[in-house]
Amino acid sequence: MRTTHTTCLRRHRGISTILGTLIFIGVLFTAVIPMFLVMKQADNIYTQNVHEMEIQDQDRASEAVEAYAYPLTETSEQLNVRVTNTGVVPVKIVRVWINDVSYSASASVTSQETQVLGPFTVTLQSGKSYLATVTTDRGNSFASTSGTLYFTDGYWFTPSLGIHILVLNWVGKYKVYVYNATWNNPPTVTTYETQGIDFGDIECSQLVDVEGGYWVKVVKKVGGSWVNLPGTPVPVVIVWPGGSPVINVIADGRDT
Amino acid sequence: MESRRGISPVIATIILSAVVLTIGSAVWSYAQGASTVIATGYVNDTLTIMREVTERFTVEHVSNHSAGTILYVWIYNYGTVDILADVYANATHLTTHTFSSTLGTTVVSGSIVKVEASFQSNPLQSGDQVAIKVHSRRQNNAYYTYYVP
Repeated sequence: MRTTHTTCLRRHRGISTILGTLIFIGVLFTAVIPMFLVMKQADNIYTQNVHEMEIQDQDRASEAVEAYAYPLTETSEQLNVRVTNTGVVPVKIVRVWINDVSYSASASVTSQETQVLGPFTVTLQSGKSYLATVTTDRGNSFASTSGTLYFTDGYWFTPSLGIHILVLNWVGKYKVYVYNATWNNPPTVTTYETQGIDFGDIECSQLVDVEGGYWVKVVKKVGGSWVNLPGTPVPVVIVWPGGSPVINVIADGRDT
Repeated sequence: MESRRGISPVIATIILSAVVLTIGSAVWSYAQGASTVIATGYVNDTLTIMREVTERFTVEHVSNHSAGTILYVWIYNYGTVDILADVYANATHLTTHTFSSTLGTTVVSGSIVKVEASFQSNPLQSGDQVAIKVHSRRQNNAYYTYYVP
């Protein structure tokens, strides 16, 4: 009789264990695991955002813009800003500042592209300087490479116009001629000649009086005669306002 | 022997199961609540840190009132989260320092805000150097040095 009773108890003893196990598994799958999944998901979102911001910071650091402000005419109260993206990432110009006044802009400039923004109307005051700055949507600001514009006596101050020539050179003697392209039988505007045999690159700047088209010729003395460097004479156009007052010309005299 | 049996095995099992279920339910309920609280706290903390590291702003432009009594600071928020910024300006004239601050300016993401710092008591003069610090409530800073024209 006792033996039968013990067997009956043993048969029912496992129910609590099974229930306990089920409850444990239930807690595991409905509380602990979801908690870890949510935490893991938050970590993933955080990591993704940090990565995106790192990329954005790199893009911001690699932005390179050249801005150039110029008046429409010598007496105009309107300024244009020419923007060239010299970097490798596209930029979006969101604002243009002229002194302490901002103008909204929305210009997307791809790499190596140039766009003209404006015209922007400014309040002219004689004897006052005007500095233009452009702001990108990544928070960079770039000031006009032409520096400040100066307005006085009803006219914008005209900077010196010129051509800057760089001759790549190992050794040699050179002459640089600048001709006005609009004149018939053009006389030489300016001439530059190196003093003797020069070693290393040669630089010279030739000022010109008026805007317009010019020819630049660079010759090198080879065996008693003067030889044109490859690519020269080269045409050059100076437009101001509306363009850079100084044009750069590069000639290679290393293989001549 | 019959009188010593006590509660029948079936009833004992039922009682034991009820106890297990009751305690188990309590533990289950507590575990769910605790895990929810822990997960929510963790997510909130993570989002807070995320907003801190994704915050981006800069001092885009600075100018001053012609009388030198007000300094204007333009703050551009180019990040993806709104910021609450405090502006501190410390002007140096020769050996004299003048301090001004403007607290609690909200700058919405993608917008620019003009903040004014007062220098009524000691107006700015030409040539003064003004060190500007913009401090966000998430502990990020932006600096700018301005020379009064």
